[in-house]
Amino acid sequence: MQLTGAEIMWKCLEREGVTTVFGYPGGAILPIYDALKTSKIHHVLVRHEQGGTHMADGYARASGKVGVALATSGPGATNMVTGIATAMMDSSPIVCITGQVGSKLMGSDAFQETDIVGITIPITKHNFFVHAASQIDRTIREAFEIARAGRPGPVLIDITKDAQQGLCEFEEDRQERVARLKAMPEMNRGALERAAALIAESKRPVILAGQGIIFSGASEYLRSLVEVADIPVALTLLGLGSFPSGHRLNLGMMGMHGESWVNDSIQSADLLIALGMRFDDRVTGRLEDYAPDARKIHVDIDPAEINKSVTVDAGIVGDLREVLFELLTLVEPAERPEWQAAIARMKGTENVRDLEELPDNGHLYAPQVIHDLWVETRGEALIVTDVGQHQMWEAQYYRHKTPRSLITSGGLGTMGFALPAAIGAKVARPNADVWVIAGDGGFQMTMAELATAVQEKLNINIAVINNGYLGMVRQWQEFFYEKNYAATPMLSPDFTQIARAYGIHAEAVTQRAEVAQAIRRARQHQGPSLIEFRVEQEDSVFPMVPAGAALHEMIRKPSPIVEGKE
Amino acid sequence: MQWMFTLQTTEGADVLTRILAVFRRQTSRVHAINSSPAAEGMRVTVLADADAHRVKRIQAQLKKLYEVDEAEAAAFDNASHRRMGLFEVRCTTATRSHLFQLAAAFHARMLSVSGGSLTIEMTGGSEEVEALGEILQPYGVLDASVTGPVRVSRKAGNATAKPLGWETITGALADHARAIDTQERNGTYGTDLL
Repeated sequence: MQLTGAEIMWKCLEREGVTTVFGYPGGAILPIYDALKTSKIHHVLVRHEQGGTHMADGYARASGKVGVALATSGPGATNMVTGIATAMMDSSPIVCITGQVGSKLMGSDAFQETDIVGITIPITKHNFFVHAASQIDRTIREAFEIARAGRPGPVLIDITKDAQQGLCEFEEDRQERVARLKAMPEMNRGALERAAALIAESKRPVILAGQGIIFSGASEYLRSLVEVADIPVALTLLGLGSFPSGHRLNLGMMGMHGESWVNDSIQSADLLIALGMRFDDRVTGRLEDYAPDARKIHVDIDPAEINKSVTVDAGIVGDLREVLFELLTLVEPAERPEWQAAIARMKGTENVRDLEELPDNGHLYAPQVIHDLWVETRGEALIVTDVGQHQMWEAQYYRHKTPRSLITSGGLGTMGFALPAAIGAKVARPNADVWVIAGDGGFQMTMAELATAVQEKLNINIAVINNGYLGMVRQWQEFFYEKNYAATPMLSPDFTQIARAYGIHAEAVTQRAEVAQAIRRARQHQGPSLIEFRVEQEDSVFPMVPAGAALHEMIRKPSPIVEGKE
Repeated sequence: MQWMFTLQTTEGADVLTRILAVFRRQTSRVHAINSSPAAEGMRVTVLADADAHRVKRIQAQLKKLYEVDEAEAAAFDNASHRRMGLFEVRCTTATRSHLFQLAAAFHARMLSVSGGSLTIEMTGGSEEVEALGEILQPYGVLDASVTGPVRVSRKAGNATAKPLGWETITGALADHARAIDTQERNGTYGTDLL
């Protein structure tokens, strides 16, 4: 059957199981858009290509499937860059397809020509340049295989206009795998046995659970290991949800804004068992002083992560489900009452949530909003956060029970991520109670996507935590730059008016007593809704490990945390 | 410290760009890169500055590249590689025989002789090629060009791999190499220049 390259592309996407793509048309990708009519795939028209890539990313993280974003050449393609880098840092499987000027024009500085393959080499798992219709079938199969395989990640395909228009024979039912994927090294039996021995010897072990648990679907195995060997679990930001927050052995989030007892447990551990996490500088603090007495076991699917930042005693490369399964056959049941008691002592009164319990003193604090949202949604919402203070408060105060219940930009820390990623997540999981939590700064970066949510009739809820500052930067200025609030006070529009202009239900909340009611109304409303929470302006996230400090050198919560509290 | 990375890759339009990007990100300065057809795919050698703690990371990141099958890293030493230098040297009737003797002492070859200059080609380890360059300095080096180091993989498996013949190398390079090969076998190489 003879088809154009554009028609072949849609057929190939269908073959990969794609049902929705997020895109924005333009000159160099017009043949592909023209051929959209031949496909059952639903196209979501985004308002900015960065939003499109975040949507594909949110879709992928919510569903575990590959998200797809489309853009034209030149500015369309370069607008994708931030979204691609975000997906790369957080290992999110997306395929981005860009139109390119005709192959004859390439290199001539043609209108809307840019070398997007060259630009995205460092921020994609791999990328392809396609200049003939005959390459499209194979390339798309290859791209999806690469995006999904091993440690997932973004793949970009740049297709020239003539390749989209060219005619070519297409065999619809070709299924064979084409990517030259490196075989996963065989599981290192020796390292596995060494790990089991280290666990058996350990008196003060801590498991560090990362996003790999979620990607691998290994939560149940993790829970078995935790319960059999009686080992407490600390979670990375992206690992939240991989282990139920209510579990007695769940310590909480580690790192720069981890609770003090979590970081203290890590620092006094004699064994760290790192599962699907990568010892990011935000979780280790100063490396030389990181868990100085601990032996380390590291399990990761990416061989390049083993011994990258932290030298380990047992490194195991593999899929966590398989590794944990094997490890469970070697681990002996144990009880560690002394270690649990020591952790309880570290916890002391640190976990008293004074902000939650604070009587209404006329001020509204962001953690109260997060807490009330957690209560109102019974901890079952799919939360998508932006980047900054609200993101850390969410991680501290919203207690996630299940995998894929939190989507956030961790590695790259991309402001503007939340709203578009939530749109993608809602498309992937229409029945989920999707909540955006964003600050006034990040929200304004991509709020044009409100129109996308309305056009797609997506019933998402948005909580804008407005403190009138770029709060996290202000906090750093307060702590480390002598309160020189350079360029952090921020004037914002009335977000409720903005929302209403899009036809979105909106209200503003300034009092603690109004929070729960507003959340209830938003949830009951059919269609998107936005609540602007006007919160205390100069509030800070505690505890905080200053950049470059050791993990135990935390700036603790002031006590009492709020002036005027009895 | 200089390190030599020896890579086994598949053919691909952007392979070298991708490889160089890895060094860039690890703040490593690349001094030379060479790629050529190998028994299978391509052999790429890279000579680069790198802190010891980054070498493993560079190697690991290189191995992650889609087209890269193998990546070895070794401290750069004089024994493990070859490179080629071309030196165009000022030459008068008075110095010509000196230069021929020097070239012979270094097992170098005369490529061309013209009125005022001659061009010497030398293959060897970095130290030898560098030494020839230094010794030629007083005569007046008009131009010089030295290739990056090349080597084959240290992997034992290579002994059984299909031997690489000229037929796998195409284009002008192969023609040139074949011609030299024939001349050397006939003992006529370079005689046309003398």
